[in-house]
Amino acid sequence: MTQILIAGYYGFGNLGDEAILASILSSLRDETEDAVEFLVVSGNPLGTQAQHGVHAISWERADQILDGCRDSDLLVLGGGGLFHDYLPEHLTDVASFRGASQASFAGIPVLGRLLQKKTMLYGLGLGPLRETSAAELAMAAVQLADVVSVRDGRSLEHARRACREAGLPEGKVRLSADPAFGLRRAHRDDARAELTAAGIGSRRPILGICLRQWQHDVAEGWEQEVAAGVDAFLAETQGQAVFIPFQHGIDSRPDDDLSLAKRVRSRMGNAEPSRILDRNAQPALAAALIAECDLILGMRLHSVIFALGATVPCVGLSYDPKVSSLLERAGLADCILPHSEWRRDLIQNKLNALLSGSLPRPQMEFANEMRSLARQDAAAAAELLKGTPRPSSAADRALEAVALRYFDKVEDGLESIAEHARRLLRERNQRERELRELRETLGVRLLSAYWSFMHLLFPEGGRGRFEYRRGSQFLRHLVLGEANLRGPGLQSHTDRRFLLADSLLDGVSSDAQMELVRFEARVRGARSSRIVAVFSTNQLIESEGQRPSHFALELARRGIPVVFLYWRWDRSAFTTQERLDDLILQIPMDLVTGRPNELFQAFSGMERTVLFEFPHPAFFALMAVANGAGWTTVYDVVDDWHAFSKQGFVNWYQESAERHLAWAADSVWAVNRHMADKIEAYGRGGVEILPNGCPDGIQRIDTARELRRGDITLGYFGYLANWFDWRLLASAARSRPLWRFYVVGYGMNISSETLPDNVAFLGKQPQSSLASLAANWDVGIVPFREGPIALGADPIKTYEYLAMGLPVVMTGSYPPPGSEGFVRRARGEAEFVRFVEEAAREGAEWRARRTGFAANATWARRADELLSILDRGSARMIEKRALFSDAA
Amino acid sequence: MKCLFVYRFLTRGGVESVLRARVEGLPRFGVEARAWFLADGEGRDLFRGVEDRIQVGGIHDLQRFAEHWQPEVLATVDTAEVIRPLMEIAGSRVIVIECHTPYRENRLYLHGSNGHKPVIYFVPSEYQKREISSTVHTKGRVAVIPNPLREIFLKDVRMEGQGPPPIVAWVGRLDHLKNWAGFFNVASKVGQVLPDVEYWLVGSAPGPGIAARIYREANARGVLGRLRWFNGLAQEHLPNFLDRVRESGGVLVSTSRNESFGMTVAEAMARQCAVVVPRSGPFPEFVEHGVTGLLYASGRLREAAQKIVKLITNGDMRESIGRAARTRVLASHSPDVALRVLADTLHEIAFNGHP
Repeated sequence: MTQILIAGYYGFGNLGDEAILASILSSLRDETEDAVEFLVVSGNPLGTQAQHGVHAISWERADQILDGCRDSDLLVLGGGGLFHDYLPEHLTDVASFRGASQASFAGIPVLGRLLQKKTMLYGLGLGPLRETSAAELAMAAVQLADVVSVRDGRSLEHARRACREAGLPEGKVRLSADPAFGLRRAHRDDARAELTAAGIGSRRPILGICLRQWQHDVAEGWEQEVAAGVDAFLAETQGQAVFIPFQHGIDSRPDDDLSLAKRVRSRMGNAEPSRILDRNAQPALAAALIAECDLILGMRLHSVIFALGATVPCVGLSYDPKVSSLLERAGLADCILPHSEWRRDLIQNKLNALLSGSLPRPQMEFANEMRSLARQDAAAAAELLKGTPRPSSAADRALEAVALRYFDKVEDGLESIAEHARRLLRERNQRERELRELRETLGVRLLSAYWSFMHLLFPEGGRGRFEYRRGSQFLRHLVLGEANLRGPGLQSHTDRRFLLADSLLDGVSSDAQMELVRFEARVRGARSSRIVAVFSTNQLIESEGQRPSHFALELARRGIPVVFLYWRWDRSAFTTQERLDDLILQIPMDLVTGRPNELFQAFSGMERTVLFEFPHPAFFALMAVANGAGWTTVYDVVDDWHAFSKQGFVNWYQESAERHLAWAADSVWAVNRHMADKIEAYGRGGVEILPNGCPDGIQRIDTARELRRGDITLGYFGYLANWFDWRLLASAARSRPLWRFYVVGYGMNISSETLPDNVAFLGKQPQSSLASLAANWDVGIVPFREGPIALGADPIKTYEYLAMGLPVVMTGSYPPPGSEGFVRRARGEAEFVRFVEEAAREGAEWRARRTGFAANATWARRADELLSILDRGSARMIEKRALFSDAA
Repeated sequence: MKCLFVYRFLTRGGVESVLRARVEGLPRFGVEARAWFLADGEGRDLFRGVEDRIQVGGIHDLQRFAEHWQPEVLATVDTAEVIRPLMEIAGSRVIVIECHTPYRENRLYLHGSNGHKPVIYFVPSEYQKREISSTVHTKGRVAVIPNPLREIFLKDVRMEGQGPPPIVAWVGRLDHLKNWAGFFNVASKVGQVLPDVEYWLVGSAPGPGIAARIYREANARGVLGRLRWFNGLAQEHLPNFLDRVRESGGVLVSTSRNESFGMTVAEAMARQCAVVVPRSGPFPEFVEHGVTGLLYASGRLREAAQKIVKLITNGDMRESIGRAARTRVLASHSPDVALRVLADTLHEIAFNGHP
């Protein structure tokens, strides 16, 4: 299939850039009639995939970018202002791909040339380009591309000059429009609902405000001036204002619009008639919100673009020539406020003039012209795709060969580094064991006792202590030859030695700390505003997916970073960090339990949530630190741990610890009503029900597999333990010799000889083959013994059977809420057999109902519910937010 | 005039809070103030906005800085190791030794200071003055300097909270002297009368192992299932916490065995929170029984529990005590008042050589 690679400043939470991508994709899909696949190079591949429904790769993965370019038929760079002086880089760094940078952007047409791929610069903005370094990268990109479209006159000049300097025809460059002009707005009802939810009433006029952080060439107090200007305008017109942030990041980061909006609003004399939309709006919704306003005070270029597209009058706060250039092109030069004029009176006057109609309004003709130009870019891309391949000379082929050899070497190098990292990990495990042994040695204990004794003998501050210090320094001088008895040299040397000892004693924890530090930097680089930590009983293994693993994976797919803390039985066991690109860090939880501050003091300024997936007493201390640091704490009740402990499992369990966890958490979730009731009996009200789910695509059959069938064929897959009711299964099998039973699972040694002839035990099977086995069954069964363990469980297999279209008969556990119509709960063998017969007779129409139910119970849906619970907030969560608010 | 304060650690403790208020507020009273810390901890953010007035470095660097900056007064806050080095460079300048620590073992250094050049001692309460006077044998040379509250505790009190369940809070360092275990003892007794009360423990663990002891003690007292522990809470959030306690109809209790001043109690009072404190140490100096708080005989935790129940079940009394407490504590410990006392004392010392 044909593939187009699109590279730009995507996946960084900038609404304007996301609008550009959405619009490019939509236009290209129209032009190519959906016959093309898209691969986007992004700062947050998972987020981009989720938001735009495309495949995405990271700007930090040179190998993936190379493969992506090699496998694509057209490379598109843009749109938006990718080349400028603000963050200059050097031509020598081109194609290094260490993140989304100008050198990386220019690397795309470079790869295009080396790999003989057609390349288009799409709706680009170039400039300001006064610095040679940035200009060179932009020139190279223009010169290497086959087609260049630029969004404004200034960019056109730059691009034409690049062509002239290389002796290339200027005809490949065309003046177009910002691709975001082609964006389809969300429905106005959605925008109105959003405004109402934010507290904006029907009173007019409504002023939309879209500001960005900016320090270059502007007066220091400009934020105050804007606040005062808006203040005066609202006081005079009795209107309302809504701040619409376009760049969501971490509060106080230089590019975060939300914190700027909060700051400006706080400086208004009367902030009451204004509101801030603090939700991360999608581009289509932001465009619709702007269309609902009566006038716009826009600093963000794309707020002006959306206003022009919806013919909403606007004043452009021109921090960069691109804003004034656009308004001039629209014939609205009078609506520009250059930064030298950002004064309260001028802002108020401009807004008043705009409202009274004494300034020109945007015209629909202009918007239509821009949309038409944007569409022509898509047509040009489609044309380029259809056209004859680039003629390839021997020289081109030689270049390509060299490039591929070079990249192969890079890939080999990466693999070698990965192997080296794995070897170091093994060595680290070994050192950790040795360190533990060292700590237990007599020497370390004696040293500790010696220091305690010295403190007792010479208390701090006394003359004795002073003389002791002098004496020991003198001796050190004699023995070690250290020169300066009182100077900083000796002191820092001593400090260094203690630091070294400290780092040795903290060896392994320091590693966890370093991993956290690096991960935090990565998360902040990805502009994530939310982080979730999960304390799980299991490692993160997708194919054996337990609830915490699925939550982690689904959250990461939504671009929410996850610190996954897993229980390990063997302290030398480490998981390699193969999911860092997905923004998942995996750490053994024992490395954190001793030093919880390292985790809970990190990620400040973000919305931080921690899920405790089991009630270990060690979480008492973790919960305290998490609560003290302002994390939203959640106890997720997935099983009846008390019942497990009574059966001799989970010997760590203490009911008092679970009671505490349930009380101290800001929110408590349970997989079913039974467990919710149990926790509420502890005195903790408001437990949310969040059932289990099933993975997307669990029903897909890779390779068909035939099994011998009976009059009715039943099957079970999953963990086998003493709550599995073998007696019921065997008895039912004996009473129905013409039925065929299949048991797929692990956890117990089963001898086939002890089972009736019509029961087949297939052992553990890969998850990918479950659907092919279940395709031979008429009924899925969950034969659990009656008792608290089964009552507390919400078996995941129930959802999986339903996704595979099977009716389900279960004992011991309750059906998931809403599934009672096609999941039967039997009591005793007779009812079990009768229900199986009934279920097997169900018509084909039931199958659709079952799969329909399962489709609404996927882990993806559960993750949506999870986020919805967090966003909605329990009383405790609201209290927590207030406790940690900035009001103080 | 100039004054240099020296403290051992730059962390987020009570002394650092006091020093922050001083370096920020003293210039208003004609005193240029700097704070010097021997070791960097995690307290730098406490000095946001006045970072240029603090420094971290070793003793040798401190000496060089003091010689260069030429402060009229050199003050150490419970930092024994700098007393002698400062005296070496003091010349005619005055050395002030501030003693804030309630821990007797940490005051042993005062014995060591006797043999040095004459110094002046600052303490935060009359009680602490009595405590150290017997140690330093320098009666008449010990001045009581009130601790200033941070501005964040002074903001207006607004009554708009979430209501019950009532919260009984305990704030402080989790060690033997502050007697966190006594809090659980009190809580268990309150719980027998008022089972719906929630207990907040706000404090940092000074070392490993304390969490397990807290767990055991709370469990043994039957309060684990109603307990929320906020470990490591940054001080800037404390006013919100105290507001929530007040709005819940709850109180703050101290079970401390000894204090030099009782800053957390004063902070709670500043947030109009009713307090129940021992009738010992410095508390009677600013908590008047039945007017600005309730006192109980030190160590009589059953009595403390009864007082807590009384305040929780008598809203009028609780609110009137809360209001009076705020008025009382602001009158003596708002930054302007407390810093004026300090500034006046420093001016006198610089001028006369003694207060």
